Amino acid sequence: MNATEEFDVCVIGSGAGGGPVAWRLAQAGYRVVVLEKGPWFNEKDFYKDELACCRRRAYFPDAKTEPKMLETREDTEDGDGSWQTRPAHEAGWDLWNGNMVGGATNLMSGHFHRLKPVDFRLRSTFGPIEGANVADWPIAYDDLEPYYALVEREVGISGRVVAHPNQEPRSTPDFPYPPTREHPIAGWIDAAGKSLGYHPIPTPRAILSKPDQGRGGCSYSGYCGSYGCATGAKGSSRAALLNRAVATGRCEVRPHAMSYRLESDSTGKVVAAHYFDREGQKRQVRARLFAVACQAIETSRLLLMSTGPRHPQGLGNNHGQVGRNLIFAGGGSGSGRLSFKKFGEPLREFGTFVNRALQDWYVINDRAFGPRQKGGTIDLVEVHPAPIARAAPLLKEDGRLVWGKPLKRNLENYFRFGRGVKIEAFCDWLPHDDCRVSLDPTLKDKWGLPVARLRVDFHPKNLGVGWYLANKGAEVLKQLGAEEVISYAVGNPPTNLQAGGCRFGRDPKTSVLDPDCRAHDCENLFVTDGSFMPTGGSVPHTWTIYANAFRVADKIMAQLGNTPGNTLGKSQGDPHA
Amino acid sequence: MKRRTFLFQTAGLAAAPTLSLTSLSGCGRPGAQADLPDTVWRTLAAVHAHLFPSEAKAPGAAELDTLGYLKAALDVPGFDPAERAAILRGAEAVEAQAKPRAFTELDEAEREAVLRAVEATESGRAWLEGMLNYLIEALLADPVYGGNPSGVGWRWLDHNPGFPRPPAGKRWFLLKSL
Repeated sequence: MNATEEFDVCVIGSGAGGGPVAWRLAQAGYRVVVLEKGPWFNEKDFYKDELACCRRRAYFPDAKTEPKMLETREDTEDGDGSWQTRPAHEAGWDLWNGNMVGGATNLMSGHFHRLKPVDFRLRSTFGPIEGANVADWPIAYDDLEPYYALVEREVGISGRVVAHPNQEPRSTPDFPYPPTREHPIAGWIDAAGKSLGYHPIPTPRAILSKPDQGRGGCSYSGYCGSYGCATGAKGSSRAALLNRAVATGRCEVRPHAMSYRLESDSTGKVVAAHYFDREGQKRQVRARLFAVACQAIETSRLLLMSTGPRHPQGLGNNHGQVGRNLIFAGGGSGSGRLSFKKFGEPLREFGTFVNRALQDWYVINDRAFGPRQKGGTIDLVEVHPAPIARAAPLLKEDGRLVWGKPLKRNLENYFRFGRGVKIEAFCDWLPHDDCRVSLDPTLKDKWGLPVARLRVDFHPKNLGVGWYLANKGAEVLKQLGAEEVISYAVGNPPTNLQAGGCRFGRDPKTSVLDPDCRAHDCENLFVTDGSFMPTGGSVPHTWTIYANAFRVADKIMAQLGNTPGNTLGKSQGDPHA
Repeated sequence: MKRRTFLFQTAGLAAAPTLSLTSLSGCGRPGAQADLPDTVWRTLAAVHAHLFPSEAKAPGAAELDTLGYLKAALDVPGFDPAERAAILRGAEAVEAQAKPRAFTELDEAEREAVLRAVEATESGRAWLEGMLNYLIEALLADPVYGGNPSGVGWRWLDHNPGFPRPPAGKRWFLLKSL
């Protein structure tokens, strides 16, 4: 350890919550170090390789040596199951979402939506919900809007504004990048949706539609989500922000650095981040201020592991709130198939995007469904072309394995039939007492550290809204002429959309962070990933995480004062070194 | 209400598909395939040929080199010895079911009966599911991994593999060591 090394800011985690802080602070002249537990991949490490991305999980930790403990209710018909506890991977859950510089943003599909003003005032707009801990945000949409706009430019969001009944206010007339190229299916969805009186809109994408900022534009290779981007077009925290932060000479990114404890002194301030390096050696780095952004579950875990003289239950946890109110995205799903026979040659176009969404029911005003209430977003997306994932379900039929010529005919029929469109419906994952993170008392990871223990259940209201939205999506697909249309609500969470656990608020007794995302009980500790969200909106969280991290970066700079220190006295080496 | 037991992912991909044998990412040693006996490879070849038969207009296990793919998978550094042992045990179970004859001597109907009997046991079903998973990987994974020679599987199913495709120096187990 170099005992003298000291930075203005130490950022722990390099995804959507870490990248904006590192970039903005380095840009402003502060000295920043980023600790990232995964390796430093770049565009030359991302290929259209389903074994690498998905089946052998090359970009993820080994779930056996870095497990999580999972408590869920047993799968019973009446839904009144007792709690069952086992390592998450034994239940078929993988809660790691990208273990590398840039984190999960390297692998996102980048369907980006902003929250809407109503999302910041759910409780005061719709009242409390029994069994749920719904809270208003301590900031308003107007506080975050400038940062949503900033993300459009800095991360690079392509799209086209189309007026619709639930369009959120914007400070700019349109997106800085034109939309990515669209598959003919997009136009068919527009026609079908409009004929039903709905308002299909182009889904904004965190994908550059043209080269800019030293990054390539989209190459339309036909594979996007779950795969790393080989051109840099995808707005990962790495490609869009950290590369620029490093180029300032004031930001050092340390890959293979697993943070395990934030050390605090007798005054309660954090003074050092302790981590294991690639060789398993204990190291530490000192800084004036610390920003934690490890994705929601791991952020809560790190804070709970970071006990100190003034923080006997862990940092930020003097009121026992860390880990509570973990949220995901609730919703539904579904799909339909379009046949080449019916839709002809235009359907065969490959590589372009469907990019359509409906937000007609972001607030549901339907007496048949109940009182006016929060609804959500329906994304309509192409079924991912990853072939092994598409073939695997054909190996089983009615409980028996399928092989031989029947399997081959099924494969031919499935792959040559046409194209699929998927419904992804997002509603609020209602926060509640049975969705939380704690430290497991017995299970340890490969470093001997206590692993995160998750208790995960869903609020039944998620299902009602999920069904409502998924069925609306199905209605559009049927109108379009899709076959085999199915839709359903989903109770279990999408494990890639995590937030909450350190909600922000004004009352230290019921929140971990203040409205600036500073820990109530630790003045130089900020949490800048999705952990701050008391509610998640009815959209994927990523744009909001990016925007809030840019907002918090401004708060951090205000706290540090406008006296940036000297630049790091060394050049940056090979990222793979 | 019925609790849903599946996940959904925004990318439209399931999380890690669970091979019915054990994970491919455990600890082990390179070159493990070399010490699987030839008799076992002969059994596996016959099983593969039955599970994915060659046809005039559709490639089978032989054309897809599914055995070559499996050998390459076994040779991956760090291949789990427990999975190697499970593959061996499964082949032995097939031969035990075929007794007093050898599986390779059976006709198509007899092979079907043997494999369906194997499927009826829990371990046998897991083994067959594992074999089928290797088969569809050999059919649809990039040829750099040893199966799907020249993309014959992709062509058969009119599948567009996208680009860029993985070079040998960036195969998944090499990325893991970066």
